Amino acid sequence: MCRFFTLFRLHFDSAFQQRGRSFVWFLASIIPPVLLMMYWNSVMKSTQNPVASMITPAFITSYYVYYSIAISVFVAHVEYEIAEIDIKRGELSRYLVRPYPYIWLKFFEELPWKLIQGSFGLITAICFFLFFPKLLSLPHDIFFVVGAFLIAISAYILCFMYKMVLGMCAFWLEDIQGIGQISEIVMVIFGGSIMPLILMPEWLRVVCNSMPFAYFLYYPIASFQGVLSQTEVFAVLGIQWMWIGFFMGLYMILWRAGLKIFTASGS
Amino acid sequence: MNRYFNTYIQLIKLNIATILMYRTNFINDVVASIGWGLLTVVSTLLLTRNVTSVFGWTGPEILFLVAWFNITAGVFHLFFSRNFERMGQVIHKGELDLILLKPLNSQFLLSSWIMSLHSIIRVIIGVILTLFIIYFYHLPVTWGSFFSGIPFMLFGVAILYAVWFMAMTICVWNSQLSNIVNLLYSLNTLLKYPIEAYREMNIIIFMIVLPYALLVSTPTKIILGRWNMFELVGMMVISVCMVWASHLFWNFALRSYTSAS
Repeated sequence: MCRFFTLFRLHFDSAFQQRGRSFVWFLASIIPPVLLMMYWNSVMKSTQNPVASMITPAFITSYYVYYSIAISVFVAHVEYEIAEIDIKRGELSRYLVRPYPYIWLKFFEELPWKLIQGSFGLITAICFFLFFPKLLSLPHDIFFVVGAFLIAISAYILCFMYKMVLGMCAFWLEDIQGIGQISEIVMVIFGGSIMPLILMPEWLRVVCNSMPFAYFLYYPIASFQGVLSQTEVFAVLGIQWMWIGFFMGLYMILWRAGLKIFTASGS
Repeated sequence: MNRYFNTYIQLIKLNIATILMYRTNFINDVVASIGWGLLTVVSTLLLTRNVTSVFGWTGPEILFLVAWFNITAGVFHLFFSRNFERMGQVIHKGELDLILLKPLNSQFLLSSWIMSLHSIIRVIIGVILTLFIIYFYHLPVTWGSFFSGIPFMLFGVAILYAVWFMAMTICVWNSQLSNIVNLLYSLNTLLKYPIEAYREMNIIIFMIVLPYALLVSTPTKIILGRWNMFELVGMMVISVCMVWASHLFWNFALRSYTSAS
């Protein structure tokens, strides 16, 4: 345990040194939700719009404020580093000689960046709700608060495993930019980035629920808003861990097969 | 002028040669371009699904704005965006020295080295979508008004170029902030909303986002016949002033550049 804490601390020091970069990434991630918040608030001002009766200003505002934290914390970005630097440039060799599994090393490399960016999001959210307390929407019971934190932790692990699997594709593909971009597009559509799932057509909601993306963006947000029932909290956790198990199994298969064909040159 | 023109022709040939060498990368980029182009339209269709009017614009008009955004973004990405991604790395690694030593303007060399030829697909998708939306929703657009929007689209691209260039110039003082380009990609989201969306904001914020607010809204309003002289003249003046400001800012920043060699 001590070794992993030391790993985390070393990577945190390195990530904290580059907190300026983290802040820029955080700013880049909050612009779309702020604009969407502005859009929905304008839509709700007009009673002619059918959607005005489906949502409240508190719901939609808290959704996008939590979204700005969720996108900073839950969405890992390890795939391009794995593909371009570790596999393509051969830097994977130095990980193979270390006494820790590769996946743990990448986990502790990525975690500090997410915590730093998430702290910017948290500070922004706290400042926002200090000015607009009526727009705050939180779980109303300790069970739901604990459930929300468990869903959030599971969401990060799920996204991390998904991105590790994406990165593993670089063992066979020259360039994963295409797959990476398509993955981002699919995540935006099916993850609840454009709008909450309750505002989507029924058929699209079914598609979103059958894919993992909503489980690392939409459902953690919904759990912190306190809109999930007790049964739904357990169901979301169960589905998240089912996906985690799936991606973990896929990662092990791809990792073993990829190592057999991996060649690195240089010192 | 001839020297710059001939150099640009050579750069185009080099870019075409690069595509022919790395064909799979080009196909990947084309697929991604198509994906991002369609995403903007799909997301707008979802957002305007249960909405009759927002910011004084109807659903089809918002859709038309987003389709025109695809053309503007496509043209910008075609000529400039990859250069800005490269600019941060060039400054960080000290490779700017090689550019400064060349007998051509450094701003020209930094801005025009790479062309993202796959973005032509996004421009084509944008054009097809705009024509389809005009036909399907019977928007009151004539060929005259449609072609009148094109010069203002180019003014818009000039504003976008100036903003991106000035933002990336910050890397001269702090080369670690090369990820500012990610922030700039995100700021492009501002272009998908009409100027009326920003009028409700605080005046200071409105003045800051005004160049972005005019960029796609103004040509769209010209095509739809809803333009006003203030926005037209404002856009032209802002685009000329901002391009000139980007040149001055770059020259100012070079005084602080410390070479790596």
